[in-house]
Amino acid sequence: MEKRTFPMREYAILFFMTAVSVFSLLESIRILSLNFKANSPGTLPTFLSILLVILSVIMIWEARKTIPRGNEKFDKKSQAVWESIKVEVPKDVTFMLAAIIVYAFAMAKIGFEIATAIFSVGTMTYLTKGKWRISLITSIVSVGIIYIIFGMVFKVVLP
Amino acid sequence: MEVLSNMLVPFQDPKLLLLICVGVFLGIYVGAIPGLSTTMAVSLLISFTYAWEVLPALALMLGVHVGGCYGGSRSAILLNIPGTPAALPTTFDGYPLAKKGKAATALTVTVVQSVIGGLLGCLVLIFATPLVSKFALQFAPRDYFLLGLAGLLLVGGLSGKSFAKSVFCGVLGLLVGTFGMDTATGMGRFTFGSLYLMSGINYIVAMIGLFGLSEALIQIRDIGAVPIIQQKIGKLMPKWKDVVKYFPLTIQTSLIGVVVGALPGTGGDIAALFAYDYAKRTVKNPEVPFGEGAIEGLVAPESANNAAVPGAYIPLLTLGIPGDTVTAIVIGSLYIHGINPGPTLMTEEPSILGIIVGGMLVANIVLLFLGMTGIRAFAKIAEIPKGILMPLIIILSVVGSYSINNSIIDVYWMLGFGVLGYLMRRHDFPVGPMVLGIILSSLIEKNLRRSISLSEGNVFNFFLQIFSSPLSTVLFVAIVLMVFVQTRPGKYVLGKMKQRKK
Repeated sequence: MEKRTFPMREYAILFFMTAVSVFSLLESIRILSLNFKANSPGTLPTFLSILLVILSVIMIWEARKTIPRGNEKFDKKSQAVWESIKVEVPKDVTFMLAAIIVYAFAMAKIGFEIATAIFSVGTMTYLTKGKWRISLITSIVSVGIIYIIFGMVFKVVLP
Repeated sequence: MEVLSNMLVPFQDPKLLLLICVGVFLGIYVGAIPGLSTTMAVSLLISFTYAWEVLPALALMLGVHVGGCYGGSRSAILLNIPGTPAALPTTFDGYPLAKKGKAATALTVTVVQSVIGGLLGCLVLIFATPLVSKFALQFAPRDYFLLGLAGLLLVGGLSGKSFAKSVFCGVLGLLVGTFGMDTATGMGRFTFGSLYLMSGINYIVAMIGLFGLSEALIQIRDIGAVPIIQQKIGKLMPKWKDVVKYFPLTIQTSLIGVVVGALPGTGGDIAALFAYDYAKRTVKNPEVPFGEGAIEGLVAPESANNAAVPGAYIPLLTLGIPGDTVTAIVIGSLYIHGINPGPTLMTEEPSILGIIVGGMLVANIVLLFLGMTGIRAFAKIAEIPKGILMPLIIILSVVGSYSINNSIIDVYWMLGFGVLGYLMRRHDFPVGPMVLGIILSSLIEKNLRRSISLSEGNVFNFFLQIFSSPLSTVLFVAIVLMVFVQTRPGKYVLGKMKQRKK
């Protein structure tokens, strides 16, 4: 699956980088046009954006030369997209990313201690495939240590 | 003289001494655990030490840097997994030795050679820094601009599989570094009306995301991929007879290490590979062939990678350009404390050079003792499942990025950079040049604009002035050559030249 979906994933990231480069070029030109001179705040961003666009083209050209063709046959295009996403961001990574977003949101709402304890017990139990006892003990100890280090020693105002 | 007296400060101040010891201890274990890198540890430390005074913050980071560089060899020898990229060549002969039941010998050699390499590197740092600083005082703003570009291209050429991808990352980093209000005109750049973005993107947040979170996500992706096999070992005792026997090779490979380490964008990994290759070519009759447990195969990379650590501080202290990714974070820490590294640092802040050299000497001495102990504890730590370790790294990344400004928005930015770093690593876009770009952005832009102003606002004059100075011309030619050798015609010419030599 990794090899089969590689061309689609590689081109997706390259086109994403190209889109970022083109967008930054347009924005840089806008900044440059507001204060058009050699020493303008837009000079370096424009120069860098042009470089980014050129490098994006080179990267796509390199990819066309190096990526093997013919292995990526899928019955449907939607299947190819779905499988590429699954390879790129597998379920463990997706779970962790979702957990971090919820954790950051919860930290602001219910406070550092409870949010961190729930996050660590939940994610450790998930990643260790159900070893909840060790996850619980590690979570309590680590939340305590982090609280002492950040909250009490370094006087960080934790939410 | 002031530098020399400042070098003694870490030896005399119990607090600094303790912090260096803690740093070395932490560094050894961070470096030894596969999946945790020194760069990640130092990027997390920066959020811890944000509000500290500069000297204790530096002491802790130096300790981690030195300890981490050595630590990678432990897992390289005992588990056949290099804890850090710099320990990769150590696996070539370290693991075969461990398989023969000589793990204790291999571990002893790596500790002793790391310490000697580190100390020799410090000597070069002491003598080279004033000389390079003196030379760097002659640099004009355009030279700094060209030097910054050359540094980025060098990083691009040496890291990652594709030159275009590496340079892309460096340029993207430079662009990200321009975000926010322009200090000269007050104009907002890439802010899109956001008040948060007016102050620019906090580079510590970017570093934690790109190095810390992205690495944790990569490890989670490959969870359980590499099974850990333990080796049984006895006590470690250095044999001075062996130290004397291999000393000539140690000196040679340490020098390779410090020189390679001093090149912006390189580091212990490249230094260790160069040194291993050098040893393989120059040691004619090793007792055991290379790759089957040759002691010389441990002496060369271990002395070189630890000598590269002080080497990496030479461009940082003299030119304000970091030598590797860890020093890129250290430079960020210095900026936070209002210190601008560069040729005037030695006159304006002589204590910094003194502390760095003194701190590194202390760290290497401490390493000799800590490196000989705790092997059993290491075995236990290495057994901690990634499923337990990675959530802890993520919590530290979240709390670390939050603590900089007590802002949840910083956490979301860190998360964004973490995801970007994860995708970049998956597709061979190296994150190191991007971080280096973010750090170097202000230096490059400030000097570009200053040199354009000196050229009466005329870009054509700016180019003419490059060719009016020998130094600028050399730097410009170096940049052109660096790009040329990566292009197809350049590679063709190089290939032809190699063929002619044969």
